[in-house]
Amino acid sequence: MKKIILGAIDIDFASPVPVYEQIKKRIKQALAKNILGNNDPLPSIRELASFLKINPNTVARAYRDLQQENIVGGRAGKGFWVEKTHTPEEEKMELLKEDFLKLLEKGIEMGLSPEHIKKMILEFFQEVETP
Amino acid sequence: MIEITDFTFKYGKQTALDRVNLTFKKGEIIILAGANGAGKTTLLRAISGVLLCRRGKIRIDNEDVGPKIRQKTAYIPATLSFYDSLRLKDAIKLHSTFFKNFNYQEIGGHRFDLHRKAGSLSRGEKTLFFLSLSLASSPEYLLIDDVVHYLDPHLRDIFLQSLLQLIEEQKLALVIATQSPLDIEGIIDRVIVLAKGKPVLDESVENLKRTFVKMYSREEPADLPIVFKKEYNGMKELYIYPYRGELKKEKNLQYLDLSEILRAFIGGEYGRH
Repeated sequence: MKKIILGAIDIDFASPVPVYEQIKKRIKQALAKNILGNNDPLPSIRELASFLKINPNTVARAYRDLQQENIVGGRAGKGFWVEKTHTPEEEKMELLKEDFLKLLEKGIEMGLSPEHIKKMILEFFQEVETP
Repeated sequence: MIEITDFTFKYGKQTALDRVNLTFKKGEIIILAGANGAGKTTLLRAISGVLLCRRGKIRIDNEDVGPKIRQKTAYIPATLSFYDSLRLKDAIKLHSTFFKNFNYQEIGGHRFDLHRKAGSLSRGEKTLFFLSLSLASSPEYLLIDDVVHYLDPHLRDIFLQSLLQLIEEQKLALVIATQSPLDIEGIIDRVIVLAKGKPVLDESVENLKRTFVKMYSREEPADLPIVFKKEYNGMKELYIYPYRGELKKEKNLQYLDLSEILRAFIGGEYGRH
């Protein structure tokens, strides 16, 4: 399990987003995609720092933030895990929204009007809802 | 904490450092960048107590730099030649006489034949040996001169992993002088750029990456702080810092990694003189 998680976390050093924010985002995405589930262990601070070649303090900061958001439990030396009470709905919505906004922007760039796009969304749900 | 106040140093008439004011806190990982001759090595040597401090002050944990606080700092010079004629075991023995507490351990799992002469080691191996040697006195402030680029990718990884372990286990301050922080930028908190003996940039990596951008344009926007530019057949490559979101269309802006930011900074300094 740990190996899969390491593979799901990568850092873009040419990004204005701070590294600890990038780690948080990757872990949330792993939750949204069900790569990570409740009670699953997370890599230790040392493991993740060594794998990503980043300052252990940066990993610690990301984990601390996730703990405050009640997504992650544990502490340095004992190990970290995903809280068992955590429901990843919010992360799922976040991930979907991000992809969705990109598509909407693409549509606007192509010159489609909001009405066109609305119509498409409504049609989709009509098809899904009619048995 | 290292406090440098109004520190000036001259080699004869040549000013190497010009009224420098800087503070390094424990636990900080700092890159000291700048063109050749900017004063990086002089600054590290001054902090390590090798140079005589005549004008200005350098204090470490509230004491003036000098033999008394030698135990607190370790300095890895770029030349790495002063033990060349000694076998490694003799170099370790000699080095240990300078310190009260000394406990030599090989770092990063790299084994050395202690009967070899230091001068017969490759540049990369020598760097690792000096790092082990420097850490043996448990310094609180580790000063590393431009050695990273001598390491091949494998040794560089060993070097980086040893630094990571150090940062985690001891709260030491690390000052690395280099022009390109290739492969190690993930551990760095703060960037200082020296030019002509003065700091021209002192910024956290986080802020720097958020406010340093590159853009391509035919004309130069007049109101933007351009630190460096290149031209290709009328198309200009502009490096802007600090960028405060002045442009409405951010589509052709690019954010950069630390190596490219420093390259632009140093290039810009050459353009100025």
